[in-house]
Amino acid sequence: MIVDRRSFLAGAGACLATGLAPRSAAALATSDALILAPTRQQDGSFAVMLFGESGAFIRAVPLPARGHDLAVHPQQRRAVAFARRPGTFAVAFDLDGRVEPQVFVAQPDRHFYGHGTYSADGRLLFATEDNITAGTGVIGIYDATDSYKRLGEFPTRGIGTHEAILMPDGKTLAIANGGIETLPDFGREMLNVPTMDPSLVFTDLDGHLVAQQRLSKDLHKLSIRHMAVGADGTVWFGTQWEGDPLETPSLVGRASMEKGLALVSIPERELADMRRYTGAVAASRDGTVISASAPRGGYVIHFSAESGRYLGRTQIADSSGITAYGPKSILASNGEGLIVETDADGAETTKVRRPGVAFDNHLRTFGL
Amino acid sequence: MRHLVLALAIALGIAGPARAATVLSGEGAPIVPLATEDDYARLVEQTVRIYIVPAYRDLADATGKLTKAVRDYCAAPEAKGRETLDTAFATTLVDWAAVDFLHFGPMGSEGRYERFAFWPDVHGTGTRQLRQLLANEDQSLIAPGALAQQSAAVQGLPTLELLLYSGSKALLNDAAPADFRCALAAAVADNLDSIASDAVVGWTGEKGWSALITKPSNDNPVYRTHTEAATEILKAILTGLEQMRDQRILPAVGTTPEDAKASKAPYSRSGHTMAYLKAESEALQRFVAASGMLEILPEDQDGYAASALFEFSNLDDALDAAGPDIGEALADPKLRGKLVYATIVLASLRDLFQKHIAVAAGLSPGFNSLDGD
Repeated sequence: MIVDRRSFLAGAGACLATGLAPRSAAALATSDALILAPTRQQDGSFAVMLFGESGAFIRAVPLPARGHDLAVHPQQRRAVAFARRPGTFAVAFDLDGRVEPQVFVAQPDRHFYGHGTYSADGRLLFATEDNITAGTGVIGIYDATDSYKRLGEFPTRGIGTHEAILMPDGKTLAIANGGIETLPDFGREMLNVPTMDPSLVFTDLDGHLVAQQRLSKDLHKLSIRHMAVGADGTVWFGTQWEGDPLETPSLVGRASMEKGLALVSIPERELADMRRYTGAVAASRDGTVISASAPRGGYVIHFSAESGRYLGRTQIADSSGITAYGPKSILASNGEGLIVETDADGAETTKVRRPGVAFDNHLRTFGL
Repeated sequence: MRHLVLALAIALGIAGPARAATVLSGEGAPIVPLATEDDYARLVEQTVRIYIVPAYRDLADATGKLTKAVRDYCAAPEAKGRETLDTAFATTLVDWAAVDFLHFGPMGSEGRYERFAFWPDVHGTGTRQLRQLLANEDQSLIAPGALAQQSAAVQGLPTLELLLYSGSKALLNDAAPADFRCALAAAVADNLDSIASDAVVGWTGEKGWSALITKPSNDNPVYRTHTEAATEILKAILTGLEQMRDQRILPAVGTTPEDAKASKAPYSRSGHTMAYLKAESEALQRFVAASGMLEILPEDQDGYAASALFEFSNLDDALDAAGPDIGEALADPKLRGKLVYATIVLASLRDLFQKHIAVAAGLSPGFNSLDGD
């Protein structure tokens, strides 16, 4: 997709020029922390919506097409929204709307997979991308101090790369290679299910391989897609199952650099209710609770980061976006305009209710 | 606060999967679907009984004839057998088009779907691996069942098409077809026949998919409610419309006339692409009719049903107007335009089913559930 940058920015500028409604301005003044949510709007257009910590609407940043996830700057009040795969745009924006959003596009023969992360000092942006001709994943490296100029890339050592996150050491990237090949020319069709080879890869920030881990061979149709890090530094991952629906394995697992990958156990009924699919993975702010969303089942399920045990679930229809919120709680968004805070007991409090807005697959916060 | 959440959950239809919820479609007045679990149960039962099971029986019948046609022709490579084999291949394609948008069911197990037709094969894996197989003449591949252990890319319809139609050594182009090639073609046809028979068995029988999808329950490993099962039927329609446009037609028509490439269309070597596309369009219409999906819309929404029928007839017209030969259609700007138009109609049909008919039928899978990532 080619974004007509000028016409898009004209639209974005027009939107910014309308300024903030008085209530929104008040919300911004009283809340530095923000909730950032990619959406589909009631009129069918796409935008990142920004809310105050308590859920008051602040502004929307228009996107040229459907977005996916955001990389949020670790210190400064800015973020980048990525196109959903196989899109080619990214929109960098100021959280306070003081600067016009900047659109940058993937280089020729690359498209974004929808995820990315800043380096710990916020100077670099890493984006998961597809080398279209080769059909293999790369991490694109961008200069966040210089208009997101592309500095280079390194291979992810897998196909169908999805999320990449920065490890707490600030020196390592964890990269999920979903293993599913798609091509822009063929829409979102999975092209290689018989030979899928998903893996979780750790690299340093220059792309040197630290470890590449795989599940056992009988699980080669379990696509590893999303990750979050628990209090002890363990990477938790969520998957989707492309194999026989009558033989669905657990959909959530843990990775450690020493011990490799292991699935955690999910009670039978709860697993069946997930419908072979997780949408996102998040850790509570203190890292003790790990959650995975299962939008097809209408649940967010929770685990103890320490014991790895299943703790419980929250019923919330079509919920995919989840992110850390309270010390032991997460925020969950859904396609029906809700953002709720929930914990491992399944208790929930509504933060945002916007009927007509569909919150998209991922959700982030700033300043919490 | 908890009370509020509960009230919200009820208002939004979160509690209780079976109840119809008022849905904001994004345009105009809210749509109130009237369909019930009973309606969905009937929809699924009809689709399975009237469409799915007979379609797989037809496919198995076609592959049975195909195995015989390959052997008969190789035993006596004459004009009559050649025609019979070409017809048997074309019939198999047409019957495959009738089920190739059904990714659920027994075809979703043991890699059957991909083994039957590994397509699109974007890296040309099948062609490359087949060349090796032919060069090595490994007799062990011809043993019954041996091919099923090979790469999916050399097991199915695209491989058989290469063996029958591609190059001077192709069985149908060669007055004296080579023994190994004949044996390999027979093995591929047998494999297709065995997969198609497995699909019939998988759909029928006490524990088959017919039972799974028509008897949802909390203990059912795949479907909990009739709504969920009916949503599978709806998703199949969306899949069919999407894959026909995105995979079958768009890559071949390209973005400009110079860009058009018949080789990117399915089954262009056999000359049966257009027959396959027409069969797919016809199949989707029969599938929709069998399901009764358009009859469960509220009366004030039945304009969408009329629109769907109108767009489907536009699709048929466009495919007819493009003529019988994909190569000629792509070379002639006017005929290519018909195919481009077909992709526009397909996009509009997909929108119609996803944004309106699904909502009016009360089968609107959530934004994230339908197409997450």
